Amino acid sequence: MASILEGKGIDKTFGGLQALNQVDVSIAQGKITGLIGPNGAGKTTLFNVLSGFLKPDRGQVIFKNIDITHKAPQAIVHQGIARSWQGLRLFENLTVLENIMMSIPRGEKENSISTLLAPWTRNKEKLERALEISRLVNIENRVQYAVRELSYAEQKLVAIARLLATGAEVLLLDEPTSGLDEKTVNQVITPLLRELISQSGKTICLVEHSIKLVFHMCDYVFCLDEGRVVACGNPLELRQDEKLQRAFFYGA
Amino acid sequence: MDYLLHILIVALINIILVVSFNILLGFTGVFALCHAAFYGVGAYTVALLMKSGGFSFFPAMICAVGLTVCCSLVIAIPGLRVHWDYMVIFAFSFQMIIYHVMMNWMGLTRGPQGIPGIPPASVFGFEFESKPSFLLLCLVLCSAVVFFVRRIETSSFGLVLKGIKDDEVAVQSIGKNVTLHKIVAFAVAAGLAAVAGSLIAAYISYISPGYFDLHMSVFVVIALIFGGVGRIPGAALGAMVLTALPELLRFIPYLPSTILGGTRDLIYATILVFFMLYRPQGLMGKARQ
Repeated sequence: MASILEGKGIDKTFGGLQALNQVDVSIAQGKITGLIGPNGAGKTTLFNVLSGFLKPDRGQVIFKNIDITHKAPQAIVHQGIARSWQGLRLFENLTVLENIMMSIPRGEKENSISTLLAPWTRNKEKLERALEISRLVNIENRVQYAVRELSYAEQKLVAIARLLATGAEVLLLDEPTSGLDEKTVNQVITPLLRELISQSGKTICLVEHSIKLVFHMCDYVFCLDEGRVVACGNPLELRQDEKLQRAFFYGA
Repeated sequence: MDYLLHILIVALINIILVVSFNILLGFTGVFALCHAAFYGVGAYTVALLMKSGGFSFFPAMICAVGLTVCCSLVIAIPGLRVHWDYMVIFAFSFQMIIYHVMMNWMGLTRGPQGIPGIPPASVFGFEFESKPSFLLLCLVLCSAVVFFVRRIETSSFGLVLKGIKDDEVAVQSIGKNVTLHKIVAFAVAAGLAAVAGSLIAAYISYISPGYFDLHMSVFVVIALIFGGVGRIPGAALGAMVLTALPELLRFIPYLPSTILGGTRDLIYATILVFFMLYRPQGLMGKARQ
């Protein structure tokens, strides 16, 4: 499968710390790619570079053969790459519906005046889309609640809903299952991500600490350590690498 | 009666100021202590165009809004691209610069002497010279501004502004241009402050830099916090109460006139401090979670 998003030779230094060192990653279209590694390996830094929130010292980010390295984060979302945050970063004082509605790009019928002055609740097309997304992630019963009133698991779903609302083709998910119990992961998150791949044709790249989930869900995995890609391959190949097993996976 | 009408007119003009400032501090979370500067640019533009340019009120007001929006862009474009604390300094400096321009550009503004003899507002030959008629004009324009700001609040644009107040980085991550939204909000707020400036110029027929100094910008901030940040009814109520309160304190009995001014300010300040202690969210603000 052709790669849709690539990081080529990415270096990033913070003061004296080399957070990323000649990192090459390639995310295949329509697949789930995993990024794993211990804390401080550079996973989130790589996400920040891929989504435009950090500019690399060297290297390129290529999306559909276009260099997007120096584009602003919002321009990268318009190109088709959206990311979620480990700390969720939802608009907690707004409702779930408002969070989703805000993320839907401006429609063809909208112009600057209507964006500035027309009530968003009257935009039927966008409302339907927002409700459709809320149904997809199973939070349709909570759309009128302020985000801060929801449980952590529900807030995780809102984060995914907001990501979907951007209409981006590539979704970068930063620890989508952290803080959730196994039941919620197995019954809600895993089927949802699979559905996004099979039904909606999305491409997913996720950072995860749960090795079990990564091996279970991902088609391809990159292992990072101290800012370098130390191994990559499909989960089956990585499972057979004994050295890697000892170093990373603790027999997962 | 005339006195009451006067307070109502000033209160309505202040409502326009505070409600428009609510777009910045209330919706977007941008703290810019320069609203009086926009108010002043609007007032001086109208004064000069009506007195020397022979313009009637509405064309002069439209020009004033246009010029004030342009002035606001001069600080918004560089100021809103940087971190918010720099913007505070930018705005404060802008307020001081505009004040000193009003004070020192003798050829244009006549400095501290101000501009007297501004003609009354008129529309199709009807002059809003009497207080009741001017009150009507203020009421119409104030309602229009409140309606306009309410539309912004409920629009997609307003939703993004509220998002910016919550978390700018998150707004970027959903594909919205934070700087552009802030600049537009700033320009709209400045334009509406110019409407208030136009009204005050046409109403009192004499303006001087003292009306548009830092105290006025501080008044706007205090009125919004007093009424409830982020809430249009709160902004309006805050402006009304804080316009009327000093006037009411004029009637404190048994105070010798020599200490009246100081005592009045002391009571005014004490009421504000106690109010903020016991109702920090303001008159109509939502309690913080």
